[in-house]
Amino acid sequence: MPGFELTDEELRVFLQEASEQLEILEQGLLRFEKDARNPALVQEIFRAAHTLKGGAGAAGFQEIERLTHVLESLLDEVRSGRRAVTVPLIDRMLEAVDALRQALVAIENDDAEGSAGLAAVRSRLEQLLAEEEQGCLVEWKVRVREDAPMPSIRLYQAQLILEEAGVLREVHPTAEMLEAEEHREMTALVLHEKPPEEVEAQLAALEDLEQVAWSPVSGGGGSAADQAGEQTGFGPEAGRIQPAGGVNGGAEEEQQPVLGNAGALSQTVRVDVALLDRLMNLVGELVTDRTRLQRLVSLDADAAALQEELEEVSSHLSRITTDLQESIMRARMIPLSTLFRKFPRLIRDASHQLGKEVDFAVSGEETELDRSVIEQIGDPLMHLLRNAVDHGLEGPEERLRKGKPVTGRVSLTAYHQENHIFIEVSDDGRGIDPQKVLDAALERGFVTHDAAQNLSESEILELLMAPGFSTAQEVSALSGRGVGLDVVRRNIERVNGQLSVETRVGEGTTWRIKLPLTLAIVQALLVELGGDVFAIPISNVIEALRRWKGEVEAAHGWHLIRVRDQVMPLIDPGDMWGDAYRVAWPEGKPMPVVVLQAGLAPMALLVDRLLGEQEVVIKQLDPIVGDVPGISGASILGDGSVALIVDVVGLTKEVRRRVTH
Amino acid sequence: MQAHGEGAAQTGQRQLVLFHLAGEVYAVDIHQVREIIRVPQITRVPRTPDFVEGVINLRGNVIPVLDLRKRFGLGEGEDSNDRRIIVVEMGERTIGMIVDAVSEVLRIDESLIDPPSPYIVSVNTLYIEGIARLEPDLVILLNLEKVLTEDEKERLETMELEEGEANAGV
Repeated sequence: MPGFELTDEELRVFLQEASEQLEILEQGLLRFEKDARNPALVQEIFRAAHTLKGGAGAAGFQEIERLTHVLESLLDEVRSGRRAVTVPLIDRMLEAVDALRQALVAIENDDAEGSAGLAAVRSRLEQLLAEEEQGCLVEWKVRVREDAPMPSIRLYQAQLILEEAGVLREVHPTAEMLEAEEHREMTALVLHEKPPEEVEAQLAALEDLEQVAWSPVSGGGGSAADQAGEQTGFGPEAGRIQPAGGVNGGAEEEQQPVLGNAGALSQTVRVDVALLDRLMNLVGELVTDRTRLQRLVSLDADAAALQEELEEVSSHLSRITTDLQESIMRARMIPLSTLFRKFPRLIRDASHQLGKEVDFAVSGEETELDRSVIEQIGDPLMHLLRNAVDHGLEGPEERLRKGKPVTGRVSLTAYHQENHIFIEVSDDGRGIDPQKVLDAALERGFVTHDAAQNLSESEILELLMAPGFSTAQEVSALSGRGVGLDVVRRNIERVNGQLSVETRVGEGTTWRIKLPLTLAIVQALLVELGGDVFAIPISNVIEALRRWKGEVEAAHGWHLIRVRDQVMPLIDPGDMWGDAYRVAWPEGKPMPVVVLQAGLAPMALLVDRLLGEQEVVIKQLDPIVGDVPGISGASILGDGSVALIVDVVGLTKEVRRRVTH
Repeated sequence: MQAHGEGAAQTGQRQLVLFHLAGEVYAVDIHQVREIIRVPQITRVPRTPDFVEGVINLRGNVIPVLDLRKRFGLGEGEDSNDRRIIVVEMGERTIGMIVDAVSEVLRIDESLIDPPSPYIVSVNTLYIEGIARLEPDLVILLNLEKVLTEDEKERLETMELEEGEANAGV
């Protein structure tokens, strides 16, 4: 496609930058829908389109350049207030983002056909752009006062005014209908040539009208572009952007391919320059070791001296390679946000298509995982999210009937607990009725009647994830759940994860993915206990402070300290792990205490010394070490020594267990 | 590893790593040994069986280290320069075992290995695969599988007992 040949490196840089700009563009457009009057945001989106255009031009990808040029023009009108932000406008622009993304993939794969879709998308955008020249599409609502005589005549008069204003695209009721029967309300779609305000004044002059309201549908016009309809003083309703799709009760029974593929992660990883420097230093040290080894070969020394020298080099080498291994592993870790940021778009598209209003909340996206794991869980998460919108959430009417807020909630949460990463997909929808699942399972022969007697509720819900169970359409409609949960589970199990579900009929459903932490890195507070170093995950630490021995009180078998207004138990590690770890507490010296967040109430842990914060890579302990209460793993510190990682949840559980027994 | 061992058995030869423990000579199959290292700094782990000395950093892996003397109830050894850790591999697991000293690697004939007899050695025969008669010493060939699964030991013993009874009943 380019008019001249790019080097591989140039191509790679272009693709990388272009996909980053597309990401900004997409995220911006999604936020734009809710925050259309934020000038900084418009500027950001505009700049992304502009950068993309420039890059494509320089690289010689003309179709991309042309499309982004149109995009840029539209955004420029929005920026200068000449065009209103509407749902169809954003739809079109997102469509362009998708097409551009496809084109980038095609370029990467050397597929000449890949850019074919760009021209079609561009012509649709150009049409939008052109509409502005003729006028803007406005939806009008007119209502005649209740007690007015001959309301149809008034509506007919209003229709004439609207016809004067431009092209009357749609109107209900039509002139014929007005002749045939009485109507009090009218809606009309008008492609305006005159400014809507002028028309509004004309309509307001008509007698007996109770309400006159208008809203731009797409490509809002002229100087009035950012004025989303004004009421005329007759009624309270102001024109505004209507959510696309509207109420659609039928959508729930239909399984629609609402969402596309969750999308492959970028094949490149961004690496912190500091990490690269560290890698470079380590390689430098490796080179030193190599030189030493080469010197040893030619060295004329006795065996003992050689042995000593060899041992030194070998221990140095082993430290370097360990560091190297960990640094490389760290470079492989990426935050979940790289995956999560694709989801607001998916939720938006799904909710619009299904006519549901969805409030989507994401948290914990800074949690890091190995990129191979993140790659594997993309599709399963996408399925769960789609199910939540499609099957979990009720339609707006049903929600209203049940006294729930019309806007449904779907949340995506990642967190770190007891040696695992958890990712949850929750909705506040209708929940899953175990009885219905069981009925369906019996009907389809997944369980026998005898076996069904003994199934617990969670075992029944497990059936949802049985191969072939949930792919049955009628079952999904019945149970309120969707397709391919067995596939979802299989994908998660492939990375040693587990899938479970919690649900309450009428209240909602939470799908929980539990992933092993073998590759995980946590930020930890290092403390010294009994001469050893322990790492406490920072996510469990509220604060560190010092207390005098005299400040400790005893009650009900607990040692208690006061932190500001709160009284909390104080744990001496010696009580947990044996006398070797008991903290000697001299009268004349305050000792460091770490306040831990675990469960509902905080607890404090007495330590010998605070050593500072560090990122640590969590490694599992061999089973022969056994299940040590309060220890979740180990980590290798910078000097090559091993630190144990404190399992705060386990520790506090154990303390509570001991005190209550 | 297992297949390799069997292959060697067919030809009637075993290659063993010999080491000392409380005055007796022990051996493990060389195919199970990953390496032999000096005793580095060991990090204690609280509330573990006393024979678990702790964990060490073996080239970026955290592996547990057992004291074989304590494992077999042979009393505390002296801190000597000869002490080594034999790092063995069992399936996915890598475990270090502290021994008094490593002496040599030997190839011996399968026919020299007898089944364990409780009268000759001080170690529980549960942990022993066989005894090799190598003049002037008797070499105790360890069954690592058993040595390294303490948690399951008791369960294994009772299971074997029950199996034995069941078989006796039939």
